[in-house]
Amino acid sequence: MIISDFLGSRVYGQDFLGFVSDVRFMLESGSVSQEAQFYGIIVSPHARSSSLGFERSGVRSPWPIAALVRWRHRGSFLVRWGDIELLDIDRIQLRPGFERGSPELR
Amino acid sequence: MKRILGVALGILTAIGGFLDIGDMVTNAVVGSRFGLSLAWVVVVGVIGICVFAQMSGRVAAVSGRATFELIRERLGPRAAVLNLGASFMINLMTLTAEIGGVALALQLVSSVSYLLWVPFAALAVWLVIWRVKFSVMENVAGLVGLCLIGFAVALFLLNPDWGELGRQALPGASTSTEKVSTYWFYAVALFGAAMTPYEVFFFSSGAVEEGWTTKDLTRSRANVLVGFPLGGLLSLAIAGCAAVVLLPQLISVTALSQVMLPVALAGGKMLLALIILGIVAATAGAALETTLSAGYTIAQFLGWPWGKFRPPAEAARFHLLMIICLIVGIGTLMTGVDPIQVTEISVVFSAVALPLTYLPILIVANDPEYLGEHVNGHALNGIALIYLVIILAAALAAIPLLIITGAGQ
Amino acid sequence: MTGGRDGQAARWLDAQLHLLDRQVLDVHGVPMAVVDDLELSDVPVGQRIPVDAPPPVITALLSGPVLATRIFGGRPPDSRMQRTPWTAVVEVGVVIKLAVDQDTRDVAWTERWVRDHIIGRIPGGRHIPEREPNDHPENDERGGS
Repeated sequence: MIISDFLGSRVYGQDFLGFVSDVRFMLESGSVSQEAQFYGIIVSPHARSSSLGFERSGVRSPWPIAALVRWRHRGSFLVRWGDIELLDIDRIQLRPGFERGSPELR
Repeated sequence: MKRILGVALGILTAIGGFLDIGDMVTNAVVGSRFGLSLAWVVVVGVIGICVFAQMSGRVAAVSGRATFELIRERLGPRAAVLNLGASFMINLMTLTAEIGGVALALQLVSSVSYLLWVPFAALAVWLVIWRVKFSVMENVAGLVGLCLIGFAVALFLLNPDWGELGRQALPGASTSTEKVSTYWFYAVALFGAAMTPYEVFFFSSGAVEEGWTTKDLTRSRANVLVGFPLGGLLSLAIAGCAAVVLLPQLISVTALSQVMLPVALAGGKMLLALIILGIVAATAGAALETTLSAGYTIAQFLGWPWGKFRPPAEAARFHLLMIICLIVGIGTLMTGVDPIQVTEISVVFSAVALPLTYLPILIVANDPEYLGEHVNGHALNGIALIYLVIILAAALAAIPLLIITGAGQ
Repeated sequence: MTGGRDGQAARWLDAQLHLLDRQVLDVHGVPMAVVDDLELSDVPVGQRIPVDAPPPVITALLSGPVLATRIFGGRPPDSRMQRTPWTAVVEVGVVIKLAVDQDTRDVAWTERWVRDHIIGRIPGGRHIPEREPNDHPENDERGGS
């Protein structure tokens, strides 16, 4: 499957939650000689577009632009692979009781 | 001598940016109709281009990558495609006009018809791109282009009333016969000319061509602070000459020969010869800058290998693209279109494309992933944000003013 | 969690932020392509995923003719995209560096074609330019590093 099929998909729990604004992968030992595993999706309640990374990398300047982008992506959260119940083109269903994680890259 | 040559990139970028054939004529037109009352626009434009060229030079020196590549990565391909489309069209129009400008200048000194010079000029530009080392190209084009200092010399020789010129330059001085909308149209045109997008793309790609690293940050700043203000001063000198000679007689500027009239009056044949040499070098420099910019932006967006530092066979698509652009340029000029009118229109479209170019540069220059500790400081961000507002205003006003004033009639 | 490359702490890579639209360099540092998409291993589409199902992994970087589809929408079919296996990747940073030479990869075929049939045939096309005076040969990774 291709990742652009996922990006921008609608995410549903009990109700509509938002759009997939990014997909996070993990390298367990930090080295690319390993596989990059699907870790989770970043769900943005209001915006489909790329957030330009502002709200995740902590970069705050230039401030009006960073502030604008953060506002558009307010309420973004991370959902881990384990909490995804169903993956379809343009529709992702989460398991009941899924956890919302912080999207920060720290 | 090496230090002087060290700032050749900045000088060439500035000359190609706002002393190309269209800008020279626009400056003379402005001087002949408004005197020096639009001088403040040149100052505002020069400061603006210094701010953003400094950022893009720093990005190239620290990250080793040219601006357009980073725009695609940081803002995503959709935003970058818009920018690319606009920039490429402007580059294509301008390079066509510059080849035409070289041919016009050569026609003035010979009795050979302009149309016969066009393929020759394009071939010469191609040979330089194909084979001449980047540093040799910038040194020769940049320094010979400085012969345009002849305009400043002419201005002094004309012994103008400095008080009167100063009075014209102050904001609020009224210019009797012209409409307000025409005044603002030329303000936007001059601003667009000073901050044309291909200047930053060429400057940052040139920085990579020269292999600048973090150790060259001072050199990058010197290039910016010498090159662009010098270009601005020469622009003002051209406008000043026109203001002193053409304005009182209400002579209107429609051709290259009228731009040079004040110089002929002031200094006779010697100075005129110097000016023509400068015009040929400056227009050729602009042709080189816009053709290379067309190649740089497309190659960087699409991820092709690029650069004059590689053998052409290792940057094959980059070179093929530029050859095609030059052929299109020749073809367009052979249909008889007036190159000066082409560049005057493209300057207005530059103004429209400005926000698409400068917002991404500002974002990239603040990104620690590319710049580490060399990201923008607060003061620079503050000035840049003010300029973004000005740029946005100019971009919004450009097309309406173009229509209302009928391109400055 | 942006751990070091010496392989100690785990490291996160976000598709849009770190991988998509990044420049890919081959083993010689020459720009090869842009990452236009990512290919993932078997992802169960349209079926319920068992609770302890293993996560998919990135199997390849994809590059292809996406200019028109990026502007207007949709994406080119898989057969038109060229694959670079994830195993060829040696570094993910500001650029993505590979361990392969682009002359062995399909993705660089247009560059090779133009070189062999057009540019290589013009006199001087294979001429190697002199070094610029300011060169620092020890870190000459221009045009992509």
